[in-house]
Amino acid sequence: MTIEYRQITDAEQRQFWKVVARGFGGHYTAGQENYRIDRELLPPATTMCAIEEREIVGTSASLPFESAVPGGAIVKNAGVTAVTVATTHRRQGLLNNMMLRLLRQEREKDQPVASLWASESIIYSRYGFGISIQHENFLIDTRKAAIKHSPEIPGKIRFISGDEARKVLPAAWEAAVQANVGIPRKNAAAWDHYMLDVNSGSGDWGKPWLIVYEEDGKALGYAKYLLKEAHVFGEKTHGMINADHVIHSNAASHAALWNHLLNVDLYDSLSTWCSPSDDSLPWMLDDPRQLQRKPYDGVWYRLLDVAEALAARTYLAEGSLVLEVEDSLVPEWGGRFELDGGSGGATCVATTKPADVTLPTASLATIYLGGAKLADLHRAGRVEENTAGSVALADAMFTTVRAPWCPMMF
Amino acid sequence: MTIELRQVTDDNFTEWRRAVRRGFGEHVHPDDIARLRDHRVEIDRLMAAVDSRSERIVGTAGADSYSLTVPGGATVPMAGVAYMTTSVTHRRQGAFSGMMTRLHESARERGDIVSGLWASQAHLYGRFDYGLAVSSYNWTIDPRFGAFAHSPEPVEPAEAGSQVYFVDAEEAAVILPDIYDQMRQQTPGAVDRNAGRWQYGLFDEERVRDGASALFFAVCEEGGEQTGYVTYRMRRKGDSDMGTLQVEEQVSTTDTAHAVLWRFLLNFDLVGKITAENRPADDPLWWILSDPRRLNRKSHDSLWIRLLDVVKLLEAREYNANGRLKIGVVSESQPEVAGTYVLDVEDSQASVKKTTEKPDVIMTPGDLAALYLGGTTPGPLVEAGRIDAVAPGSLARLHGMFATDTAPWCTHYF
Repeated sequence: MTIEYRQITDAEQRQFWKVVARGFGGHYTAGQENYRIDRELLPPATTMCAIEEREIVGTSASLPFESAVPGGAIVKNAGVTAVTVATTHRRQGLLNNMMLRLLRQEREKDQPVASLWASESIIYSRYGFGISIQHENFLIDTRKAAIKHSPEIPGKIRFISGDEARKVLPAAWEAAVQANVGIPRKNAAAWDHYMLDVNSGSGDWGKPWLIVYEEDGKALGYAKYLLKEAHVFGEKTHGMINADHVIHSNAASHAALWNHLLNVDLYDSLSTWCSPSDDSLPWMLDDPRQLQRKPYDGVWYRLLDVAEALAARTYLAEGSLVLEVEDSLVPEWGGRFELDGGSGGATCVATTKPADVTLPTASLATIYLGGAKLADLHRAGRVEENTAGSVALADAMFTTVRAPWCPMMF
Repeated sequence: MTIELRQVTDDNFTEWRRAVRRGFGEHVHPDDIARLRDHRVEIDRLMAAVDSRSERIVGTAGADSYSLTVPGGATVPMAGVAYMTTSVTHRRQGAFSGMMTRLHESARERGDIVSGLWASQAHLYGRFDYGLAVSSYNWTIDPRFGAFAHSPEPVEPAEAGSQVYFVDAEEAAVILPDIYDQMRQQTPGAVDRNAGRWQYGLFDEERVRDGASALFFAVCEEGGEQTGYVTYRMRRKGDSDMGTLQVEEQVSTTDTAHAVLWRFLLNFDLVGKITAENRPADDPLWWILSDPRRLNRKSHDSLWIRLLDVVKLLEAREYNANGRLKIGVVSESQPEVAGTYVLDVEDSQASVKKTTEKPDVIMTPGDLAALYLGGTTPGPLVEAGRIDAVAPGSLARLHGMFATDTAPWCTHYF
């Protein structure tokens, strides 16, 4: 039985989506409109599948993202998604073969980095992915969480309907894309997909509420939240708010949105799943311990073109470093690179000079957006320091004043 | 006003201790009064608020003398504030503020340049200019998912150049303090533990175990040097129960010892769960595990500090970048601390003096305290409206100068 690895054809699209859904434990029940959007999101040219006698047994694909790196440049970013292997075809190398081909295919499209959300955190380091963006889950009893510190809020919050949202949310999202490192731009299909969610309820949570924060008529942030009542002995005890998306692009939008969410009458158990790891909410509260915080790995990055990726960002401290990057999956993507960087920009070129640090490509991806320190990876044995002080220099260069953030699962 | 602040003496120590524990909702075991008096407290640093009508203690306060390690490895004298209670009968009469003010005055007189505390409630101390300087994680992990993907040195017993062995309580009392002392000198946010504190901390009678086993002790040795230890208790119902291993403290002076001891802890049979409270914010285990999501972490506030002598403190720590930064400190409660401090950093060392020039960044003493040990970056405090980065580029300068290579950690609870 031979397995071929290739993009799907137009005729194989419904089968593709069925197999993807099954891989994540569900049946594919999308209606006509949903199916249209799905096909637009992942056209055949974005896929890489394992196919055995016309039967799709492994799937992977990549969304053509663009997102900011430190310094504000927007780079192409392959958003890896829909990765599944059929339970019937475990341990036959399908994932290895698909990932290798998918990453090669995406590099051909001049994308210097790839990124993904991992279904399990044990899988992707072997393909050179490292945890680049970490997030926190929040759980707050809003009755006990008063805001004590706040920036000035010149703008206003208002509720918006689903119809208006399709116009307003993309503007707020774009503001967030430009103000933060790591948030992918969304195309029309992605917004259409999002609107399916906005316009439908989700189980007993009901239909989401949308609020937008505006200054001078410009949308700078929005939140989407769901409400659920809880009853004990027929009495309403407390209501739950699930703040599904809290998207902000400046201090005022952040403060205004959280102020709203902390003050929804009758709903006092507030949870959210994707705050930046350095969210300022704890520093705004009178009693920060009322905010329970649970960190987790968010987005994993993979460098497809080390030189281009490193040259795209700026660095907080001026410096020059020779990095020996080990890429065990695609050895020719690794090598020795000389990085010269500072607050104005950087160059990064192949070199034969001796390396200051030697590290696997996943470790470099981990520090790429400023979301982790090389010193921590060094203590874990994930980088070798050949020149004393070079780990500290790397951290002084790669550090960013704010942590990267990606409030969008894909 | 009927409330008077008085010194605690041997005459009223027992009443004072009962009042402290009552404040935390507990009765005092008679043996513990002498144990505390002999090993833990400095009686001349303890204070009682007494209602002069009844001559009863209605508020308690005190400090222990600590040495706090700051970024770069220098140590500074710290008043470790503790034993803070106000009797429920005497709320809102100024007893608490009065005691705090007196504690800070007396700490300054003694030469302490910083005070620090663990907060029973996190909203209490911001108003006294404390800033949250150290945060930590509480961990749970299922050891069956504890495989390592990386480690600084081989950690499997067969290939490791290190060894782990169990020691009993008597040996532990001799071995542990030296390892701890080395660790705390290289860890910002850590404090010293004198002999009395060790004696008090290793006390292990049944009533302090909360249903768990007595303490177990294991030590890591590398090339003849003892470089780490772990103290833990077991909770298990019968021999076949998948019990819980409760790590009380894990300390190491090398990255290898850290990895070796966690390899050891994650190798136990018949353990379904490991818990460890108050782990460092940047503990490398997260980066070592093959499946890091299995390490379940919850954030918690740990040490809060207050700056008593701003110039001395700013000069005591090292900085990550050279340069000049003018920090404006605004304070209504401490006019003597308010003003603009200019830091000139060369070779990681700052010279600090007050200036009449315009500040680059403006913050309260509590915010400066929060930044001081490197436990947070300043960006979130700017976003929260607490720090005003007025000069162009000043946030990046503040960030770059105050950055540290290790997060602060205070494993000593007081």
